[in-house]
Amino acid sequence: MFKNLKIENFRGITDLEVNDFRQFNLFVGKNNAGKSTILEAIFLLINPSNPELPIKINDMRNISAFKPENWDLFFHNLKKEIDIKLSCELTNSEIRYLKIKPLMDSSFDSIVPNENSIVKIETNNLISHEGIELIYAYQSKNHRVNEQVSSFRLNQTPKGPEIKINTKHTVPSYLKKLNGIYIHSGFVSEAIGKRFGKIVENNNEDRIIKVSKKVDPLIQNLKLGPDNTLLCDVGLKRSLPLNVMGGGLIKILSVIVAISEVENGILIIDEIENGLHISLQEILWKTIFETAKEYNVQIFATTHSSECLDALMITAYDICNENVEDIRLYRIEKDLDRFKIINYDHDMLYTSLEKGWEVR
Amino acid sequence: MGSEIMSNINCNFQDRNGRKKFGKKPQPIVKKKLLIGEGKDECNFFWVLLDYLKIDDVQIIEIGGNDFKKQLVYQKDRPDFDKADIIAITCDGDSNSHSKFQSMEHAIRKMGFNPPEKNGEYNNENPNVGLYIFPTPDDNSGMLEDLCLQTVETHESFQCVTTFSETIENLSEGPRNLSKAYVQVYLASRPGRSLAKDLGTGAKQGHWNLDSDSLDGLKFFLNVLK
Repeated sequence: MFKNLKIENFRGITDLEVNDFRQFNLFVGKNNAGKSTILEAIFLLINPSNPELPIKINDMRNISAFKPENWDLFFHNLKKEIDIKLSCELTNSEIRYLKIKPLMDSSFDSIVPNENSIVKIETNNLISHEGIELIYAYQSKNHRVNEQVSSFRLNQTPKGPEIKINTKHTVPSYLKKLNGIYIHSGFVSEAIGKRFGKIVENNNEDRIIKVSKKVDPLIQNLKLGPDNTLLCDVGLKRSLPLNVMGGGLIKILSVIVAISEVENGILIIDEIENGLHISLQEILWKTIFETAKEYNVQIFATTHSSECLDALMITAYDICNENVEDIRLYRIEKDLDRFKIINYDHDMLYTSLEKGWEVR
Repeated sequence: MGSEIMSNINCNFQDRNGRKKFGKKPQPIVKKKLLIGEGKDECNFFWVLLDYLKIDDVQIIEIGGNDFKKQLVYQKDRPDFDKADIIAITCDGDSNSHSKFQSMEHAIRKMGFNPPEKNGEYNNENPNVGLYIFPTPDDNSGMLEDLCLQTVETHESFQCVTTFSETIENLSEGPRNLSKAYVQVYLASRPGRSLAKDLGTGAKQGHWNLDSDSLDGLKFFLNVLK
């Protein structure tokens, strides 16, 4: 699990450090404060040697990977000359570092200005728009630092653009795998069926069916249909695909199946209240607390909803009892390019919500 | 814009045993002049007194009773608290105003500010942080109730308080909080369509003498909020 996080020059964030992560971590703050960027940084650090993740996080923001200029959007204020630096410490004392650089265009490598040269070479001119380079290093308990480099390049082919991934070093076999799933605010339900299928294979579907019945009492059973479609038996002559059920059910099921799949890993949920009626907020949190504890999953989520926070605290005291220390809320404040993190422990959050003080 | 105490709207959130209620409409900090009071009575009294003094654009923040100092320190982390220009903090002196001042100094430092040098004064920094301990800076103990009673000492209804005071002296077991009991007696003696059951309601019904010299120190303190 993550203990802390440091971000430099990534998207809208210049310099930010978050400490004291717990099992359940919720981020609040005004729009454009950097909440989603924090989640993206965590996502990248879950598997920094996976070159697909930068493409995925752009994709979740509907940013096409096939437009060369879109690589720039990773860099703060589009300043590619300043490297992105992400780092975190895990509870097993492993420290992970990820540096993201623009991919240098090799065609410029041969240019060496001599004494007589009148050509001024500016840094930006040396940088290609074609891709980015990921440099990953980690430090384990015995203080060894290992480095791995991956790069992406956008290639124009007769069939159209393609992304070429070049990994210069293989993933060290001793690197412990950390699982992670990112549920973004505009999520679609297509992955739910596939994940539910795995749960059925392990005969663990009872809890999911039980929660589904709480959300929609008409549901009698869930089953997997063709093409990994999750079907809901509501007592009609044929079962209905999940997509025609309410958004609240889809949301809660997407969370519970993701937690089940990501055992001993990380679940990231952007705008956790999205699509949920107030009456379902407590069910969502109860589901999260129970399943995340069972599967040992660390949760990172963002919200804008005060009802969501109320439901979190109510449920936390019901489910967690003495383990409310597992909960942290962080408010991200941005003033021009300066960032501040307000860390709410459970007592401060409880008092604030009880007194009706704004925390967002 | 007048001074205001943000009202809370209760929703249905409470735990399954009904232990605690949440669901209050969150109150943002919206003004740059803040007056922090200890409990609802104090805040209602301020609402009336600020109106009397024609001081507006002040946000009155009710905290505590219990855990007053902890909740005071929590204020510094509320959104937009750091935008305040003036922060006036008030509380009761209770049994020892001197030790209360010392503990409040500690709390103000934990908020990240320098405390004022004396009770009833401000630190004259940015933000300008002031501390007033009831009943007045000259008293060694007491509470807002004592100050309110001082404002009506010459009123004919105060005789009821005096008589009550003399009577309970002979009781084997009297009220735990004499000042609050005296306020109840005084308010019970006052005419009106409905009985004011607490100090704050008494203020709203005009039962305290806001012209009294007893309030001079408090008015001086609050006038900084003008």
